[in-house]
Amino acid sequence: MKSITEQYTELILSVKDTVFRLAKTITASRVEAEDITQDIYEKVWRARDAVLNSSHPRAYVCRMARNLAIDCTRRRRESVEITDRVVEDGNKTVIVGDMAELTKQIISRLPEKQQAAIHLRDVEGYEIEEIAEVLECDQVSVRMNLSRARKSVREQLLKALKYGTE
Amino acid sequence: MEQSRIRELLDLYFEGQTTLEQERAIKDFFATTQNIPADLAPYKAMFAAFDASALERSDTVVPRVASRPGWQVLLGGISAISAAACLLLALFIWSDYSAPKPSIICYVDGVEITDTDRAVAEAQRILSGVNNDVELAMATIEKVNIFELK
Repeated sequence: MKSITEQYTELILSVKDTVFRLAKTITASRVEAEDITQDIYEKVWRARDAVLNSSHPRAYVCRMARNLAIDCTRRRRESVEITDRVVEDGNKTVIVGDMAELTKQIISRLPEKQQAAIHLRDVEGYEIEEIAEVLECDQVSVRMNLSRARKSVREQLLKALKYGTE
Repeated sequence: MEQSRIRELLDLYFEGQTTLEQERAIKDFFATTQNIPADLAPYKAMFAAFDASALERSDTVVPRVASRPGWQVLLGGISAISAAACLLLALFIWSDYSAPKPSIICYVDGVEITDTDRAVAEAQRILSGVNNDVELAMATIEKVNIFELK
């Protein structure tokens, strides 16, 4: 049987990049995402018994990361006024070749729950059940947030495409 | 995969009702199909963005953790030292009590004498001292008697 240390290391190595990407999606900052990822190592170690004994350890870790990212974003919002990004300004410099980057930007402007839902499903490939555990809601709510997020992305991409080609 | 099937899956996808397997089929279609109809082009970019995001990696280094936290290691060390000290003390006390002790023959000036020869020598020394004292006393009495007779 694996020791606690081995189980911890195995879990962290398997989930560290997911934690980083999820934090980056929510905070829209690589630096903050790295800080959150680093913090997670310690927090998971401190809560190792609860994490390793949970039904979905990686979902547990993602929930911790999500909460840290939300706190981080809130603190930033309190001190810095967020400036609008590309699409809603009707920025005409948007071209089709930038669509992938634009998709990321659109996702970063979604409500946080939708951001986490679309990221965990479409980037990380998590099951709905695991996402429900991360978001601390039921599976119906996850599918609803996922649907809204995807439709928002589609709508804004089509809008940007229209502006970019006119 | 046929475009009509992809369109059906996309409808389910935007309703949040697709399975992971169906979503993989959609991604594969957009990643591998060259001539995509114009109305589906934005989705190609969208799925490309998801794939690109999935390739991002954290630069952080996972710290090595001790098998036990520091305080536990310290506590363990202290316990081991204490146990060793108790064991040594117990051995010392046991050896002290269990060692054969010589019988005491007598005390001279508060000192235990356990050796027979030494006891005899001490006795002779003391008796000799007593004898000297008696002789001195007798000589003194004799002198007193001489003076009284005169």
